[in-house]
Amino acid sequence: MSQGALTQAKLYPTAVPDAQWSDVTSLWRSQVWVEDARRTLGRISTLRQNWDGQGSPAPERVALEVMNRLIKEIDAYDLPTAHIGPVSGGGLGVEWRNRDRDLSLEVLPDGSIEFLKAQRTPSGIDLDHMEDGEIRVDRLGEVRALIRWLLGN
Amino acid sequence: MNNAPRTHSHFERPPVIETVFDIQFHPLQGWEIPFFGLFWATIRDRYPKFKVVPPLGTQIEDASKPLPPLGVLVNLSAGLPPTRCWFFNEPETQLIQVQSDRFILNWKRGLIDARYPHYENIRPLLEREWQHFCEFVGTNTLGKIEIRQCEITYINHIDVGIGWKDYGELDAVLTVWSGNKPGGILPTPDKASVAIRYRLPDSMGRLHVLAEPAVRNEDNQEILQLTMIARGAPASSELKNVFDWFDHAQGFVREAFVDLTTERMHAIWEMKDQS
Repeated sequence: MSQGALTQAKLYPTAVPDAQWSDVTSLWRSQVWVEDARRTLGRISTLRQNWDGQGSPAPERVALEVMNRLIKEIDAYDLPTAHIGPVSGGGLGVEWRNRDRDLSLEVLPDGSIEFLKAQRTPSGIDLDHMEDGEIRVDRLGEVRALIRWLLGN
Repeated sequence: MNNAPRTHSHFERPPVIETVFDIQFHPLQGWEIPFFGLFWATIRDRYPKFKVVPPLGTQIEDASKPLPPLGVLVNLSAGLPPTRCWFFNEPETQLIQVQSDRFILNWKRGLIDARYPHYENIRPLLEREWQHFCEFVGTNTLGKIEIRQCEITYINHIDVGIGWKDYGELDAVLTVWSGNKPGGILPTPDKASVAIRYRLPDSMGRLHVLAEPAVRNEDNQEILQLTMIARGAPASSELKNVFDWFDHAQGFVREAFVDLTTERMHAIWEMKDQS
C-alpha cells in the first residue's frame, strides 16, 4: 500500500468478529443512542392495533425486524439520539439531526426502506439539496453511506 | 479430575440460548479458498445456507502463565484476505464455521423447537461432523491436523423481569454479586457487568465468565447475557483426547453455572439434581 493511499484511507467501525451466532446488542459496550433505540423498539413492539386511536395496525413484525437489522448495521457509529416511532399503517420511522443535516428513514410495513436527506439553512430547509431514495433490504450496508453523510464525513 | 462434579445438575428450562464447540489447530497449509466450496458440497444436504464472515483471531490459553493484556489485533497481510465460512441448516439451529485453523459447531435455540437438546445429544453430532471434517482434510491432503486448543462456550439469556427486575437485584441472579452496602450512599446500579476468570482443574485451561447487560435483537428483550467459555488444550489431537477434554470441560461449566447462579433462578429454570 502506498503512503498516499494510507493517508487517504478512512477507518469506519465494524463489529469485532466472534463465534457467537445469536444476535444481541451489548448494553455495556454499545453507544448510548443504540441503548435508547433498543429500549424504544422494545416498547414499540408491544403496541397493538389502534395504538394511535385512528385504527392503525400494530407495527408489522417484518418492519421491526428490518429496523433491528438496520440499527445493528450502524450500531458502532457515535450518533446523536435517534428519534424512533411507529408510523400509521404498520411501519416505523427513525430520524437523526446532526448540526445542519437531517436524515429520516422509514421502514414500510412490507420491510422496504425509504430515506430522506435534508440540509437546513438559517432560513429553513434547503429544498434544492434534498434527496430521497430507497435502500434494498438485501443491501442494508448502504445505510452506512447515509450515516457518513449525516456525520459530515 | 480432582474437582469432580458433585451431582449432574439438569435444568428443564435452562436459559441457554447457544452453545459453541470450537476446535483450533495449526493452519492447514493446503487450505485455500476453493476448499470452502468443496467442503460445503459434502455437507450441503444438512447445511444448505452459507455466509462469508471475517475470520476469528486466536488466544491460546496457558494456565501456567498470566493472560496477556487484551489489545487490538491488526492483521496486515499481503496475500488473500483470510476467510471464515458459515454453513447452517434450514431452521437455523445448527452452524458449522470453518477457517484454515478452526472448526466450530454452534447450536442455537430455534424459533420453532426452543428446547435445549443438552450436551449428551449435541456431542454425537459434534463428533460426527468433526470426523467428517478430518476425513475431508485427509482426502484432500490439506495437511495434518495438529490441535492447539479446544473451547466450549455456553451463552445464557437471563431475561430482565423474570425473577429480577433491575440491576439493584442482580444479587438475586448471581451468587458472586453481593449488591450495594446497606445504608450506603450508592443508588441502585444503572447497569453492571461481571467478568471473572478461573483456572480449570488439572491444568485443563481456564474458564472465563462474563455477565453483561444486553438486548436480544430478535425481540428487543433486555437480558443479562451470561457467557461461560472454557478454553484449553487436550492431551493430544487424538479424537479420544479431544472429547475427553470436551466432556470434562462441559461438566465443569455446567456445575460452575449452578455455583454462579442463585437458587431463586434455579427454581425458575426448573433445576433437578441427577446423580
